[in-house]
Amino acid sequence: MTSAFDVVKRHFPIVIGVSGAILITVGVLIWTGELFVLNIKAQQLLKPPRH
Amino acid sequence: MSAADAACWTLTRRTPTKVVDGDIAAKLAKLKGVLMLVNQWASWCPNCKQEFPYFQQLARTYVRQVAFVGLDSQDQRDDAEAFLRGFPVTDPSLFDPGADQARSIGGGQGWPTTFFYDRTAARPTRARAATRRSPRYGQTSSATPSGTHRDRPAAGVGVLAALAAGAVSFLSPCVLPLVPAYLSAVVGVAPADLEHAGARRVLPPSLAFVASFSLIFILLGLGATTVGSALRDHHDTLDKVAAAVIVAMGVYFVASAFVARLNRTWHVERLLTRAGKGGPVVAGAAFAIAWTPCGRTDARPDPQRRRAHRVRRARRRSAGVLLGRTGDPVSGDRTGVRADDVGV
Repeated sequence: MTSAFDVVKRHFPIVIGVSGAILITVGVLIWTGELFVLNIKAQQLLKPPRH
Repeated sequence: MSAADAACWTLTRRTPTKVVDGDIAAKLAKLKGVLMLVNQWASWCPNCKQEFPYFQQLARTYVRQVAFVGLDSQDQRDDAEAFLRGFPVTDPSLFDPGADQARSIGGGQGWPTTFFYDRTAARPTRARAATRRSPRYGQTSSATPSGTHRDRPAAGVGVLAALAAGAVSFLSPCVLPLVPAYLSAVVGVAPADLEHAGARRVLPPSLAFVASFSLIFILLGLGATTVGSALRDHHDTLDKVAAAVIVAMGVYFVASAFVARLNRTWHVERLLTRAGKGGPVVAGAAFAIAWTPCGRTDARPDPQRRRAHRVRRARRRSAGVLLGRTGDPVSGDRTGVRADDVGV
């Protein structure tokens, strides 16, 4: 566990940068309404098949 | 021209990107003998956007057989017409800003709601998106001020069962280790010193926290329906504001990777001390405000079993009327259409 945290600490700028990019992506998806559609599609994918 | 076509033309005058004024009850009275589908929608309702292509598909499939009419309820005219420009349909929509017309035909509870009228136009069969499968997106949920049966999984659970579930949740391995930290923050005693702190020091702030939390949480819960209604009216704007804040935070994160000055933390140095001197009331209120959105948004009592029965019955009937029993309504042949034909 400690070594895992060490890896994060060593690459902290990258982790922060990627997190920021994810936030920006989510914000854009919410702005355009696509997050709602993706949410439904994800639920559909996870749903067991109909027989 | 069929009766269904005539009905639509009378309503729209070929202006499908505008909502039109009219009385749904009067139209229904005039349209006896025509199979009719009334879709109650609103521009702020996400599921309505998902349904529109679906109804377009049905309208093409059943052209000259079924009259499709929209009922734009609890909406602003400008928003509704902007919505129609974004989701062009050929079906007319009546403007019902106060949802009075929707309520007059048994709707106005959840968005979207669809009514199917047979030739008598006397008693509709109703279905909500939550009870039907969309061909594109599968099961969808219905937007509603109070939430549907499906939206409230805890509805119908007894008080004792809820109490027991709460106790189990509290004692679960995920929550119990957090309790000392919470308790420490509330009473202003460091976690290491909690063991030696007397009950007189710990108990009053804890009770103040619980009382403050309970009072604010219950009051907010009772007012959630009203607040939710107000928020729903500005749903799109709030979405945009939230999205802008999230993007701004993301930009800050990315920038902080390159600008050292942005990559810093701010500490409230004397938080623990202040929390112990009257902080529990404020902390309890803050927790209650933060957790209210996580709870249910409707405090009204609800006869769940009867309602669930009505939903199941409506689902059976709507499926039957729309897909199975419709057949060829002109000739009366009820065997010609199967569910698969319309992708449901």
